Amino acid sequence: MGGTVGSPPLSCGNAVMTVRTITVLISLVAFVGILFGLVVVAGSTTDRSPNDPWTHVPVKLAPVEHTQFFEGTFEDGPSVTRACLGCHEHAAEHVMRTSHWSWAGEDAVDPLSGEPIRIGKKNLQNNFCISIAGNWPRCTSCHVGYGWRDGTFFETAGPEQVDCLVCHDRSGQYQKAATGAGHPAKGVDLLAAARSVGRTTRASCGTCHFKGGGGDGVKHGDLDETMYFPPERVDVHMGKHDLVCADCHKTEDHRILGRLLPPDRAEGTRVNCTDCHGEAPHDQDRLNSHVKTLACQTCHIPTFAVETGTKMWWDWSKAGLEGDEQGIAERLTHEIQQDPSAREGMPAGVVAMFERVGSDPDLWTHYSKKKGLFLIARRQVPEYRWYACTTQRYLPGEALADGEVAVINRPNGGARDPNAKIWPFKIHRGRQPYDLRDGHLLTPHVFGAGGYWTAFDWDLALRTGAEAAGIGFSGEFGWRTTEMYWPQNHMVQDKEYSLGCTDCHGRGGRMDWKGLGFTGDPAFQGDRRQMDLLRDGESDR
Amino acid sequence: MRPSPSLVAGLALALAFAFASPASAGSPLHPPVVLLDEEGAEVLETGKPVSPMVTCGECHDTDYIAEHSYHVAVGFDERFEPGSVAGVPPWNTSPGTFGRWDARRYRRLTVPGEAAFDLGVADWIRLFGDRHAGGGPAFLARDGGPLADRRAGEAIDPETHALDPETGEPVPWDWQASGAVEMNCFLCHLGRPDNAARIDEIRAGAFAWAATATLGKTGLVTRQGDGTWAYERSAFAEDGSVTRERLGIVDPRSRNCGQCHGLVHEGAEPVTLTYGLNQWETASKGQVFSAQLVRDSALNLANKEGLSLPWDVHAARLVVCTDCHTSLNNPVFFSEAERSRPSHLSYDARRPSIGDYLTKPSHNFTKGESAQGTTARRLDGTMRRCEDCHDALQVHEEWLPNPRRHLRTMLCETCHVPRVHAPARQQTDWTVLTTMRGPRIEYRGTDGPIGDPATLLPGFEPVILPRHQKNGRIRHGPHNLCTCWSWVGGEPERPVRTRELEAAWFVGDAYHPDVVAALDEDGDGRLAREELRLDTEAKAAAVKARLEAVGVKAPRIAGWIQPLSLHHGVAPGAFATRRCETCHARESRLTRPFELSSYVPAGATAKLVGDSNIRMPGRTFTSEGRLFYEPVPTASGRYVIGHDRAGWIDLVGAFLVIGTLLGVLAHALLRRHHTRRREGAQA
Amino acid sequence: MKYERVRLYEPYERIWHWIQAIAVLLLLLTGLEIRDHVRLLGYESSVRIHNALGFFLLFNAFLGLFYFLTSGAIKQYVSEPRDFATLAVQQVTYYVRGIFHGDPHPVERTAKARLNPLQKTVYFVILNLLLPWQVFTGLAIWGLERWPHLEDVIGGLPFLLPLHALGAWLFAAFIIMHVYLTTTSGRRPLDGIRAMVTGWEEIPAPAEDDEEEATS
Repeated sequence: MGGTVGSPPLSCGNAVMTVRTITVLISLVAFVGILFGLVVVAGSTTDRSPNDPWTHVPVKLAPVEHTQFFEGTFEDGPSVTRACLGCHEHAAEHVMRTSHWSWAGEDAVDPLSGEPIRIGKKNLQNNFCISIAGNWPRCTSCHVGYGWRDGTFFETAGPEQVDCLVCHDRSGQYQKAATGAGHPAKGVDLLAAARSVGRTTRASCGTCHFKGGGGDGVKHGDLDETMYFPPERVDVHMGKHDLVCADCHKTEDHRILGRLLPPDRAEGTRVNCTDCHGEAPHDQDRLNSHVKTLACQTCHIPTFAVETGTKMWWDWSKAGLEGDEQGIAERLTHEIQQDPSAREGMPAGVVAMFERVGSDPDLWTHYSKKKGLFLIARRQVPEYRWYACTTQRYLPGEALADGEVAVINRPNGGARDPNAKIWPFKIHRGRQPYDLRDGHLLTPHVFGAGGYWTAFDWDLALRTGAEAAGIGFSGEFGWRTTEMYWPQNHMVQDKEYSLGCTDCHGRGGRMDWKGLGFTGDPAFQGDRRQMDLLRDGESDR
Repeated sequence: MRPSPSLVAGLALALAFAFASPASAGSPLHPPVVLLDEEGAEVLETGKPVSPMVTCGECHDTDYIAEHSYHVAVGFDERFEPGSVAGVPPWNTSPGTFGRWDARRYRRLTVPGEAAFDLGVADWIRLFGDRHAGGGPAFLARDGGPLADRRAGEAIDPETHALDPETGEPVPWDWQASGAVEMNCFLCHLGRPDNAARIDEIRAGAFAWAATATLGKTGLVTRQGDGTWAYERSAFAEDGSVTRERLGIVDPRSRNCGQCHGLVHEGAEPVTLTYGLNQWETASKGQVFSAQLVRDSALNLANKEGLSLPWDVHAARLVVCTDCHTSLNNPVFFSEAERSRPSHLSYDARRPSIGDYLTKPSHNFTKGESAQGTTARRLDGTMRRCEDCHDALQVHEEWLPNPRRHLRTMLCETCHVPRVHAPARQQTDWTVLTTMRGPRIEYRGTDGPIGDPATLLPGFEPVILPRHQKNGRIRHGPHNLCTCWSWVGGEPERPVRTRELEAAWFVGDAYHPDVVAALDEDGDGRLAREELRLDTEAKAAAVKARLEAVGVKAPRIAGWIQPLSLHHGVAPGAFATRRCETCHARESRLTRPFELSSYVPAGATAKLVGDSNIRMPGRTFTSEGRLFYEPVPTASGRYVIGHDRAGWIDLVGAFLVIGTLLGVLAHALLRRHHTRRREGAQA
Repeated sequence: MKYERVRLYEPYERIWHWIQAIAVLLLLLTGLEIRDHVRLLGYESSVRIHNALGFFLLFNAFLGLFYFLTSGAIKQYVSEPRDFATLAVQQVTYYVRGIFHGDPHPVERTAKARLNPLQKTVYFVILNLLLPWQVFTGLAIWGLERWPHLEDVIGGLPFLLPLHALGAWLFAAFIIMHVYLTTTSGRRPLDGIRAMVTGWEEIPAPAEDDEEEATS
């Protein structure tokens, strides 16, 4: 079929050939480059997200079916634990190192005495049920262990007393007895529970954390039972994107990330929005510039207790009244609304809320002979404070500073603190007993024989409670108004429902700029760092 | 009423103090005020109406302010001989509300010397004064003297006479009793002006008390049983002065502007609409100035849940009216328009001092070039526009092909006012009268009767029209078109007066039998709202006969189209028009027909008003009785890629391509045929 | 008839041809979308791709020109005036009549002269008139965005866009014709296209077997 015509084009080494080769290469590279560019251009018009938060959500391994591992009946909780430890031999050890077990934080130094101290739920006080001291069988129904009946528990407890089921049960029927020191309630099918175990669910956490303070939504403001299956309007992470608690509260060896009120700036213990969303998550510079002053939560949690009410005021001093509890609540509310003397010692904000009871459907009161008078609220606008993510915790036995209101966990930070940002808080206020002579808060023994809830004798309850807590009691007590700060982290709204400019800036905004230490609205007066427009007598609010 | 030097000095001192020490921000910037009457005496002593001109004139040059305020003049200083300006109806006497006929109010200021008397000046004040800052035509006579000194002479003069509502005849007006409406500083400079009380006084003809009534919410004054106002001594300071806090003097807030211009909404209460003329721009254009999200309003809007955009993004970003509509000599804001600035300067650093400004603040405010704002056209384009604050190119270059061309040919509003969520007026038909003795009004952006809470409000897409700017450029922007139908007649031809309309239409409280007979389509003896339309020759003839019967000469139906440009209700980028295909497609939004009127009165045509800077290239057509306008952008020298095409090019091109294809096909078939035959022959 | 395998197209010529072909086709497609005749990639993407490809086409055309000039391949396109008209007439006659009767091509093809006079004319027109026409109108349309005052010099969009569209139609017609005529050039219908891919084609051997190139 004939021979080759022409010469092989690239074999010639002369200059023209070289130039031609280069020409070929240039045009090929340019063409490929252009095509690639076009693909990128066409692709980029649809997908603009530079930083996809989903990449930070943990990928879960396929669960192991546990049904066939267990036979026969389990007589009690510890026997289930022993079965678990048969395979997961270090699990109990891990759990016993966590604060879920110890109800205490890391080793720290007591700023008052200089002594080493470990503080936590175990020994701290709040202004809800005040303290677990003396009330163990009731309070420890939320402990991840079995049998914490008294102060000696940790000296004797062994690995089999770790309650695996309370977190890992997926049968839905496992329950701890309300007053059983953590033991399962009667009628729980332990075998079914053991066979059901698996990865934690929202219920694993919610069963205790949604009911902190003794009931649905009482304590946190941003956590309640609507969070089991929240609509999008309650929480965007769990309602719209179907996350579970452990997606953010990442866990390793049973150490669960996330600590609401750390006493110090222990990095790495907190769950931050920026872990997934980055430091500049908005597509507008103006919004991103807010990040250095505001916590994400400030705009993205416009209200807390979105659907279920949370306690805003707990007045222990009103406990013990006989009669119809509904009637007493109404009478006390009426008194507060009408009689200035009934409002004595009440913070102005609480009085204002009481005044709206009856006309505002989101506010109501409740009375319990055992516990006193409550003000419960829903859909509340948070209060805003500087917060550097550490708190100054009131320690047991510490004499209270003078002043109207005693703060149990003062958020550290101020306008001049570079680490502090403005955070939304639920501030729970209340009145609780304190030692009139020594000036420290008291810890009533309420549950069980001789407790206030059976004897209704404050003197007795405070004496036995003080003994159990290891603090003094002079025998004279009074009522002290206290505040507790609950930073808001859940019930997050996406941009559609978060705050807009006018919610804080301009007339009628929700921020108390002067109270926060600004000369005025920073939208017009300037930012705290750039313009240095802070008030001279800056407050630490 | 010149400011005394010592007071100016005192004010400057107070200012200097206030600015020098921000720590004392709590101290009042504005000194206490002594309320004075027009004689300069303390009203606490005399009990006479407060005179803002004198009271405020103690420090500020109120005469200067009144002379430099189109809110005061409303065309008074721009009057012209009727018929002398081309393009406007021959009964217009100014470009402002004082003399410019507008279908929304319908009533007309009588031209001096004209037999057909409609509104005297006093009538004008009572009707139009609700949206007038006072002063100007409400205070001064034609000759420049005070109106309050005018006394009726022999001749009937709109300045001295008013229409007697009983007889319909002009009767002398007692200016000495009514007083005149002074320029009302309080209306705009009080945080809580009592506008309702002010309007009450104006409607009642108690002009002198209008300014005093504006203080109604300060506690300084109370209305007496006899209609006058008394001063509350206890609300005044010991020395008879009034503190700034008591008076509540503020920089004008958006709400102050909203009192006359439209709905300015603040706070958490859901937005509601009245559709009334007290929300002038809102009723006319559907625009609401509010930071509230549209979805949070109380309106029954279609697809409401998705409307998570604010009614106006500027309101949501804390921009207030006066940030853009600033005083022309405000040293902080003022920036000279490019066309009047020397070309070597980009910014003229020389400013009036704050003191000069506070003494003589021009109350002519910067304005854009709206289609409808005809007053003070000389100030058109003085306002900073979108691109003067926003770097539009920077944000659009990222994604928008040909950003410069888009920005050059279109106003930002074209894409950033993609939709108006509230209903707006579509047509005002004065050829018929409702039982309320008003025109039949139709709205666009609604699926049913307005005001019925069950009516779904889908909102509407504005029509994009070319605007001929002062700088010679043409840019397209979104508009509402408001059509008006009206009877005109008489000699010289004027809109038929409401009195004659009522006489023609009604007998007592009932419709005239002739009118009912002609219009009652369903034969139930009543005129339903839907039946109020003169869309056939017979109906129009019946009403025409009635008008002639009550003495109107040669009545005919005329129609006008008033363009209203949309500059507020701006949507943030995420809600702006972003899809190219919205316009660059055969089905282009730019050429979508826009309804002008839901019916056309027999034999009538509507034409664009002549005093607007927009044009309506394209065609109007009737479809199923409705009148539509179909824009054609090419008619204004624009070629919309993807929509426009030169027909012959495509014809030639398609012919070429198809011809080639057919030729090639035929050739191929022939080749195959011959090959087969050859192969067959070889075989 | 004797055929021999001949290297008709150098690698670069082939690469250049196909790059140019893809670019033109994509330009036509995106152009169709820009004029809302079809919906393909989305308007925005089409505009961007069209603009980028336009510049690329220009760039590639210059590269090609450079190549043809330096390699001497340009001679292929330059019509020799000698008996050009006669040959052209013969070629037309061939397409109109001879081809149906299986006549041989009237113009002998060699590696050095592979184009017939008609092809020479058409390619000359396409490369020297139509391509510059499209490039110029395209550049002008693009340039008006940045330099609007050019409108007074070169006309506005209402003037330029129809011209650009006309050029596009002509290109489309050319491509149809071009693709079809390749089927007539070789022994088998697809030979022409195959040659543009591989570079080799079987062409009728010259009557005398004395050409150097054929035996080298």
